[in-house]
Amino acid sequence: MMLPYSRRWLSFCGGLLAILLVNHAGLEVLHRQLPTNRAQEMLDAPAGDFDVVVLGSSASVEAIDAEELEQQLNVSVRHLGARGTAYPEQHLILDLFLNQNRAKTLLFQVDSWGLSSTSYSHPFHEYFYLPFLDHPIIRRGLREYYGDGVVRRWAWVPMFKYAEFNSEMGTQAILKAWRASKNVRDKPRYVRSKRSLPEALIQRVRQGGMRPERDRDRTRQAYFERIVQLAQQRGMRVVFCVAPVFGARQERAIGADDEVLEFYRQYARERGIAIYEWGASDCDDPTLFADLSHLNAHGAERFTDGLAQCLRMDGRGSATGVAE
Amino acid sequence: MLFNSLHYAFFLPLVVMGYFAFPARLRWMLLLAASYYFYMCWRPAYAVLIVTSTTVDFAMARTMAGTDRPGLRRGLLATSLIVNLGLLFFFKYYNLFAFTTNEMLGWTETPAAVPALDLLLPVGISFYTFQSLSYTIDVFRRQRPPERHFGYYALYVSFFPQLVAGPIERSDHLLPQLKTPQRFQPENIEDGLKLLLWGYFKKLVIADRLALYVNHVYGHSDAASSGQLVLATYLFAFQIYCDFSGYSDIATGSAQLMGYRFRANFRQPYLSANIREFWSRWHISLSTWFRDYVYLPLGGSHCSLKLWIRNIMVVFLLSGLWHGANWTFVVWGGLHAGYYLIHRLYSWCRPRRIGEPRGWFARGMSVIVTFHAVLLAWVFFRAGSVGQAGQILRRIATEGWRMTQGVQIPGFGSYELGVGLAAICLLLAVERFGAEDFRGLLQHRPQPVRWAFYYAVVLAVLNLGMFNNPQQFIYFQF
Repeated sequence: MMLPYSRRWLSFCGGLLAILLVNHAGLEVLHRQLPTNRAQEMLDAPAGDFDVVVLGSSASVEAIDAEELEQQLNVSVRHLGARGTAYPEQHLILDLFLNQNRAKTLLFQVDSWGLSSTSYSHPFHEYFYLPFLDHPIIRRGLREYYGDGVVRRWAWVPMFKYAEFNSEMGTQAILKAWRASKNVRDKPRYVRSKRSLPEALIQRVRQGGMRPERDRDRTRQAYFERIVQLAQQRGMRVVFCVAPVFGARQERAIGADDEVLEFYRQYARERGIAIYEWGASDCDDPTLFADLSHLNAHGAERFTDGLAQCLRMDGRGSATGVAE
Repeated sequence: MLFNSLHYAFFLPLVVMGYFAFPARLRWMLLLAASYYFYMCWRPAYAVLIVTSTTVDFAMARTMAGTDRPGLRRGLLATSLIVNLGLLFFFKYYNLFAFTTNEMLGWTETPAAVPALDLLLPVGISFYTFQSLSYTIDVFRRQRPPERHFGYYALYVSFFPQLVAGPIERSDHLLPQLKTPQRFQPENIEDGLKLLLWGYFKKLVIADRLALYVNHVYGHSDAASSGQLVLATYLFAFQIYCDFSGYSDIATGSAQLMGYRFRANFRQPYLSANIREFWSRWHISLSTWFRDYVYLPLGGSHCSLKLWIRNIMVVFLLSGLWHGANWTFVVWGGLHAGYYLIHRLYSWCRPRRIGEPRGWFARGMSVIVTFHAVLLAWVFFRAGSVGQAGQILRRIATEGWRMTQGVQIPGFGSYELGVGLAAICLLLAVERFGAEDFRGLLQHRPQPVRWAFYYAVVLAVLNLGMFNNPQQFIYFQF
């Protein structure tokens, strides 16, 4: 028997809502059980006290060897570096970490492209954090960056966030997660390789054709400053390390953004923050780089050595770096 | 504003609710305002072009109807044609004209004489220009009286569901509907939502997924393996079909929510058994436009064989050029003209054998042959230049199906390919075994079966749709 339209509509919409809620809840439960993303990894890790915490983008993942640093300095190190992240996401990562851990030193990797609005195609990987919107820090972090309306949609509309990011959080992500037992996204790719820069790329940089135009984004600068403030509020000593870039000391090379680097230097000077960066001889050595902005195994070893010396000297000087 | 944007998801329900809340005599104002808002979200300044086209055609048609002087009537029609086609030529074809002229001058070692301009193609200009022109020509032919209300006419030209990519509606079909107050009918809402759902499935699950592969392979055709080029060409056939017919479904569904009905723009084109049938099923509103306003006035088929061949060539070459300012589209049109001529000449010679294959095997073979002829033409449609298309075809012909040593496709692995192929199978199954129109699909099945199917499609769209990689509809660029 045909139901009247209003009853049919109510039944259909009710059924649809129920199915969406079940779909949503299923994905929510699955994501919370799969330790495959950086937020899950951090939330699941037992609370602890660390001597050094490393924060940064992929440049820090490739350049700073946490185990090497632990051995050289005989301290506990936690590497929070995450690929493709700009300062806003790094702020959330640090905030989450400090919520249940304590640390003495923040080793903060900064880079010449970090303040540009055009660097990183997807600077904030919100989909890592969306299954945990009930966590107050994650919710606050996302709200501050995306706005209240967007976060409300993600939180209250069934399936909204899973539909919007279904390539990263949907069926495919879950299938991938079942195959991978832990977060593989932030593991160093080049550290174990001996790959060097290809000759063609070296020539292009030396001929001066690799310098992009960059703006200076206020939001990213504000988050950069908030990271430093957050660490200092928690009583941490902050040390900057500038991500090494091939040919950075040459004019017109990719990392030769002197204005931005000078901003970091001056910011560090004004606040008594130590800053570690490579000199021209290292930056011009193609055997240390896997690509223009990532070190290879040999480069990472040398960079970590220099960083360890800098930290050992309490940020007052360094053999290869510049420190204050 | 894209149909697959969040903006539209808020815009459409607001307009529909406003439509039924407004007094019937004022609804045209709401729809006109909504349509201009919809268009101006993209680039406000170019609304001036629609206003110009609308005003000129409205005035010309009114004046035309008020006079019996044939010379004046022809002059008014010519004015309308010059203004509309002039705008279309300037914004769409000027740079092609400049490039071609300068190239030809280059052959005689003469310096470039026609400067290229930095013009942004106004979205939908080809669609609303043709729609507006069809009205003026109909009035000129006395096939319809001129519209007396400027507001309704402006709404006919700019009605938002079909403004930027059709279907190209005729005035005798859409204008009377716009002038009739539509009553709220649950059946319309239900049918409209069904079409929207199916349109979004085609666009978000199939077209945008396949676009990842096709765009990358055609963008790096030098580095891609021949097997990848073959696969990309097959996938493009379904990408463009799902993209455009998905758009038409969303447009038709959006209009039907308010009670308006558009004519069908696609009827299972890839199941055509010959090229003539294909053109009666693909982009029907455009092919009938060319039939009525170009082919028949040229003499159609009621003329000598030579003239008939000329008419066919003119229609298909113009149809190719309509798609874009690139010689690839002209070659695409030329190929279809060739197919059409071969089919017609052959069917005249052996009418019983090729006219309508009767057995399922014969028809199946004809469908496969027709599909591959269309596929060959798609290579020119998709390639960036005639040279690139030629190179792709040469590599496919000489290297075969070599899949190794190709390009890496970011974000498109075996999972994406599997989902894409499964969705294409579902699409073909629905088209082959279901109803011709999605609105009628499963209508004789029990309610639980129908609802289960709709729920499954909703879940497929939400779980498999490419929401975070929205691709513009392909036909927006035309």
